[in-house]
Amino acid sequence: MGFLQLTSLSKRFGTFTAVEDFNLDIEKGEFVSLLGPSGCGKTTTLQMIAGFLEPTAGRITVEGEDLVAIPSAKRNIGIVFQSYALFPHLTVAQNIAFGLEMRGITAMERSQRIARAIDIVHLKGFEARFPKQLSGGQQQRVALARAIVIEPRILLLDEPMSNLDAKLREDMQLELRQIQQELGITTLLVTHDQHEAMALSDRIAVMQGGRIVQIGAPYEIYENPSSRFVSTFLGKSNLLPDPAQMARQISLRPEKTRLVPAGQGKLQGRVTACIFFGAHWLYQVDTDHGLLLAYEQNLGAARARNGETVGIDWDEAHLRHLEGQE
Amino acid sequence: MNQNGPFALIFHALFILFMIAPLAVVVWVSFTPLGYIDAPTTDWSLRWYREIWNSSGFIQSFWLSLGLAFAAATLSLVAAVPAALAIARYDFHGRGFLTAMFLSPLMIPSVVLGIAFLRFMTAISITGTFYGMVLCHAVFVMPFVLRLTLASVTGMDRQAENAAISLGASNMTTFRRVTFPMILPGMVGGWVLAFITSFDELTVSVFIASPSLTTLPVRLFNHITQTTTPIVASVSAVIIFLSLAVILILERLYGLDRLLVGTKR
Repeated sequence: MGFLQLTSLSKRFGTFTAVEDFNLDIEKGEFVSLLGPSGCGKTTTLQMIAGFLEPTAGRITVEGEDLVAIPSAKRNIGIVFQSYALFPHLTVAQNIAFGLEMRGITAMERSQRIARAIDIVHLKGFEARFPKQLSGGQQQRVALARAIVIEPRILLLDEPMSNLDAKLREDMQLELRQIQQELGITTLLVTHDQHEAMALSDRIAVMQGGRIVQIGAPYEIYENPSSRFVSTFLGKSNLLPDPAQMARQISLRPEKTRLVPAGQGKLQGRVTACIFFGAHWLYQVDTDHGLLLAYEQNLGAARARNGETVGIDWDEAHLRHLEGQE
Repeated sequence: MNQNGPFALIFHALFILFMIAPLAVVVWVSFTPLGYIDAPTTDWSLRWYREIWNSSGFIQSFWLSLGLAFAAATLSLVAAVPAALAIARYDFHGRGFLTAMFLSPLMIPSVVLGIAFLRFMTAISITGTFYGMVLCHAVFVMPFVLRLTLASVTGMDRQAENAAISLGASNMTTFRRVTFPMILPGMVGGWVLAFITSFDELTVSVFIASPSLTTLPVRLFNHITQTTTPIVASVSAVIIFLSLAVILILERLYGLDRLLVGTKR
């Protein structure tokens, strides 16, 4: 039995169904991401766990205890908000102290725990600063420290990295993952960023239209997307017609293809774009099956030019048959 | 930073001069030893300042105006904060109507308001009472308080409240420790504007003032219509000096930008 269990969870706003028959079991200490485009219901789900929204139907339990019956102030859940939601009139230390004060923890223990939290997020020396005097990355660390200092049963992260620039985001992701594993804290991340979900999660739940369409370890999902939606939302995918069943499609990841001289390989086409990404080249090839993408590891200069005719080859083992049309 | 060109500098200088000149003239005139309004050049005197002390009416009116402005601004603020929270956060029936009503004193001519207040006070027999005047002024300054409070409520990140709740704060604690401090700059700014507006208010006050409750602007106005002694200049000069002192203190303690423009730290 999972530590955090969401059972047939639904949320309707009037006639609009945001979340429908949502089921998810999260183990203690696990890091799970809800990944999906905006409007897929992932934030609504998070808000129901936090207690800001009441489910229309279904159950949320932690260690078997019904969470819906508990007011959000008593749920003992740490949340890092997209906007960080720091208290602008309080210093870094006061921000982190807030949750401890609410729990009536003595001043002495409070200062010890604040010091430890500040240590964990590497903010030593910033205790007396106000949020306005910090960079985006530092503000995010404060938000994280404020959430973990209360030793919550669950940590909820609501698009926590979306306001950081790309380089900082990567650093923070590594750091966040490290902190989460060190503390062994059960974490649920809500994001639309596939890279973030893959870098951080033990498991990813891909959401679409208020439901989970596929769940599993990042590698597992990436390698075996169940539907066209998953194969294109999580990474890029070439969609080929399934020769066995006309209505179905086959997914072929661009990095599983090889460019070969014209006349060889399984498909022929004309190169319409060739883009250099540093670690790899991206070729766009116009074939009988439409535009296909091919990644080639950067082992030397570009292997084909615009307008050149090339062949594309792949191993049959890399083809993935998708269920249904969507 | 952009540098101002010579024309801009001249323009700004003239503009400031245009604003300050009348005040300077009033202060200048207040030092005349003569019995009529005149700008002194050789003889200077504090005669009209002593005269303020001798005629108890002005002092009494000053304290009345001060108390009235304080009470009206405070009462208005107490009503405006819940109103602003409701208007900014909930979409209820009659929301637009309520907002328009709170802001209507700005749009209705003061004369009309004054007459209306007088009739209303007579109808509920509170004419000539201090509390009646406070009530009227509170309504009159409501738009200023509401506008500024509304701006800070709208501008605040509501997730901060959710954060406080998730950290274990009750609704009451969340308001006291998070919401209130976050909208405080707007509230203080609105209160100050309301205070100044009430202290300065003449048109409405002329109607609702009574012989025993004459605000300072009304007393000055009455004085001018009857005589033209330089005491109006010396009273005005005292107000100017007091305002200046208050502004300096506020700037030192708090920063005027933060107070009136709402720029946060």
